[in-house]
Amino acid sequence: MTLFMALAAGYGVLQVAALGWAVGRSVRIGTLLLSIMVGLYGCGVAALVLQLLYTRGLAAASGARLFDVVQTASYTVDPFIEELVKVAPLVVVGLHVRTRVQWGLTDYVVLGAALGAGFGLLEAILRFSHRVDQAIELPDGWLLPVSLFPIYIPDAGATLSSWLPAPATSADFAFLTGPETFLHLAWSAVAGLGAGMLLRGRGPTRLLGLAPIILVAAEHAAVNYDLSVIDRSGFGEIVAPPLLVAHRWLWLYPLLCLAVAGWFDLRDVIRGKAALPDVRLGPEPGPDAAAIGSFALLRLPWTPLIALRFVRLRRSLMYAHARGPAAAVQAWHTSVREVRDQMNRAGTAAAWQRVPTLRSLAHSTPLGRSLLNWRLLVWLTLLLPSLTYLVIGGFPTTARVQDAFASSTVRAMLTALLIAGLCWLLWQLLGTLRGLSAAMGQAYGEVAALAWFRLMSGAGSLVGGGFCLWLLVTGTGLDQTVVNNVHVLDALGSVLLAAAIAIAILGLFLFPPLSVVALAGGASTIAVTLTPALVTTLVGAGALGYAGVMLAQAADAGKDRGGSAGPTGPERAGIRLDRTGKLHSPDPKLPEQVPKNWTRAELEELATDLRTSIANRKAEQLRLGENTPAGPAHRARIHEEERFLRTIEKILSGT
Amino acid sequence: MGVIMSRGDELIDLLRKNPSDHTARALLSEFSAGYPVEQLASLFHSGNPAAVEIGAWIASELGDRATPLLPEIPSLLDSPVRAIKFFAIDVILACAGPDHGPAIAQAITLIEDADEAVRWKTMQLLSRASESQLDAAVGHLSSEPIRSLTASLSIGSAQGDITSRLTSSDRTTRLFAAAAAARVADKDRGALELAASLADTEISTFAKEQLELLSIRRPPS
Repeated sequence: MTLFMALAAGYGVLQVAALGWAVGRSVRIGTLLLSIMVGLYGCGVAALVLQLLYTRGLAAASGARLFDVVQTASYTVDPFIEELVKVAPLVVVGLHVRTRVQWGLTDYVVLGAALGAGFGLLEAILRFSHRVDQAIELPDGWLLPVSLFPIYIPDAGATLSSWLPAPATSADFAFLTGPETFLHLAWSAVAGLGAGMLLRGRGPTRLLGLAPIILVAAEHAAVNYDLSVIDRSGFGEIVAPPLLVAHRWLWLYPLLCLAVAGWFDLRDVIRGKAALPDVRLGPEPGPDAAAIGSFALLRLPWTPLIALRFVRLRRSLMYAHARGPAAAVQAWHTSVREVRDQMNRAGTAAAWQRVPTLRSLAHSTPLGRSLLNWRLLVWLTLLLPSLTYLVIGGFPTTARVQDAFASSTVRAMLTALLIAGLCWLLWQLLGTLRGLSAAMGQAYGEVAALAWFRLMSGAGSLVGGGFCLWLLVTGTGLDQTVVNNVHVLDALGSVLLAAAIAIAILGLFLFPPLSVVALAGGASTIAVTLTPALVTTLVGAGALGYAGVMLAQAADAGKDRGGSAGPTGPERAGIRLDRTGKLHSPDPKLPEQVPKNWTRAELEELATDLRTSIANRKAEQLRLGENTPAGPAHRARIHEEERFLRTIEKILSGT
Repeated sequence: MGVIMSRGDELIDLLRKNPSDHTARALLSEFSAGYPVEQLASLFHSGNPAAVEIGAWIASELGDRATPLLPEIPSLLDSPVRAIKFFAIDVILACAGPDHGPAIAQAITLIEDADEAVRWKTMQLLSRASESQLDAAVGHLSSEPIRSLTASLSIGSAQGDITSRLTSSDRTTRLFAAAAAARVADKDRGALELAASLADTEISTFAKEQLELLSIRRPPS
């Protein structure tokens, strides 16, 4: 069931990401998935710590009962802590100018949604992952009778047919409409918009970005107030009702945010394209969607990926151009233009002929040997308790596996694995930290964001794991709750130590000791490494990722053929100079007339290619002599090229 | 009982018996129309040197569509006929990939051919081959000097190294240096210009031609 809760959270993020693409998303899906982990480990743990400190500190200072303090905090301070903590990673990453300006408002919305999804997923896992033995199977999920209001967890079918499905839903709603809207995802999408306005805005107007954050925090407080306060009166009764009315439209919030963000982003893109015409694909002014579409069809699966990523990268350049300082924009401008140039050189089917297919790549990747590497086996062993508890034991029929975690034998083993896991995490985090400055020096700001996100999620996992270890050492039973009699984040008060350990160790998932590395010649390998700095660099290497290696290879082929396929290669009827320095075409007879749709730039380039080809052929003929068997055919070809060159030169000279 | 021959088969048959430029161009058009490129191999095995030469020329005009013919190229590189070697080198340049190291290596060894024209064509190969082609060849070169010279071409050489090799007492080293100068000339023409001024006409002629080609693509400012 934990898997299905994770599926619901991830699916909601993908929904927002898909719509976000249509209106201007430039951040990649991998970064969004990492953001879920940041929400889960980084934000989740930070909120827990802050709420623990606040409630316990206030109770100690005021002499009030801890229960009362926790109860009041749940609808006063806690929602504000949570909503601020969920967008805090965006603010931290936004301190890096290059990242801040390369993300558009849409990016902030989808990133906020992902962070919120991770945070909400943590709540759901903490509350329900250890209660699967009580679950009742339904046709479209499971029902957990944990209180008067049973909890509904959707299966894959229910998740995939829902809009922003919550990983766990109060059954009141479930019986009517399936999973309810994922609260934290929707709220954080709004807060993300606010963070974007704060970080991308100019002057005092940027402070308007605080409004969405305060608004969702207030709504969050109103919802908690509605759920937890029975004896209602006073201020709460005045403020909460309108917010609760608005809450009925929660499902609409991300859509509205995307619409607003998309409007501003579109404006930046239009202005950017006008100011930076040298990053468009194809020779003609105006929209280049057709050129990008043609490129996307050249070689599956690489070219569609590259085309999509190029569009993303160019958007990020436009966002940077709209808000960034010239120095920050210039390096990124150069990088995007290089990608554009590579795409131009690789703009023919021939350029992709020697680029491996996915199947040949799979054959060339020595999977077996790499997977037997001891580092990978250690990593998988460390993850074993988490996978066993949360995945294998995560269903009603297999819930006995979770019961086994209460035994003393398992306790010793779990302690050892937890210590080893924490050491691994610490090691990886220190390495990531060492690679941070290099990541921050990259022209592509998202590389730095990825490094920061890895640090945040790893640190959260480390703190959570360290807390669990302290509980283990101080004698808390694996079948006991982590925190007694405390309602902080409610969920933490109900989670068993065994489940908390499983969740904490799962943070290692982000730090595998391997990476698929593309090699020259189109092969690839799985690099097993314990050098996190290297992994950090590899993750960010090339804004196009793995597909970028394929593009470089195809572009190299294009360049090797004379570099003249150029931006207009596909439109030149396949006539191009290849590596031999001679012009070749699908039809050996060159056209009598120049097609009317060829541009001046295409004609000029073709004329240059023809002159080169003729010079090379004549130099050959000089050495071959006149009276060889192939001589007449060779001469005839030279005459053909000279005739075609004259035709082109006439057009170019206007005669 | 008679066999129905396609137009391509007829042209190949005609070329085997009576090679002519008209038939050669007609066959080239047939390949463009979909006649299987592999059929050209029968010309290579015809035993008629003129037909083999015409076949090699057609293969070179096919550009990278001649890739299926690569297994036939080593025998063409062994031919005593200059033109056949010429066109076979073009096929290597246009079609050979990382899997064709032995054939590329065989073509590179023609840098020591007795015929100056063949050496000139091999210098073109060395100056235009991709790094992956050179890398593929290195492991298959039996001559240690040629292997190390090819490897240095692949990894690129500093202008200083190139200019010192241009005046080496060893001809092969000089020829490789001229090719290296041509490889880097789009960034720095210095070594190529020095090569063009040398007394060794084999080197200087090649270098001058390369400079002319460069001026076509990028006129001097």
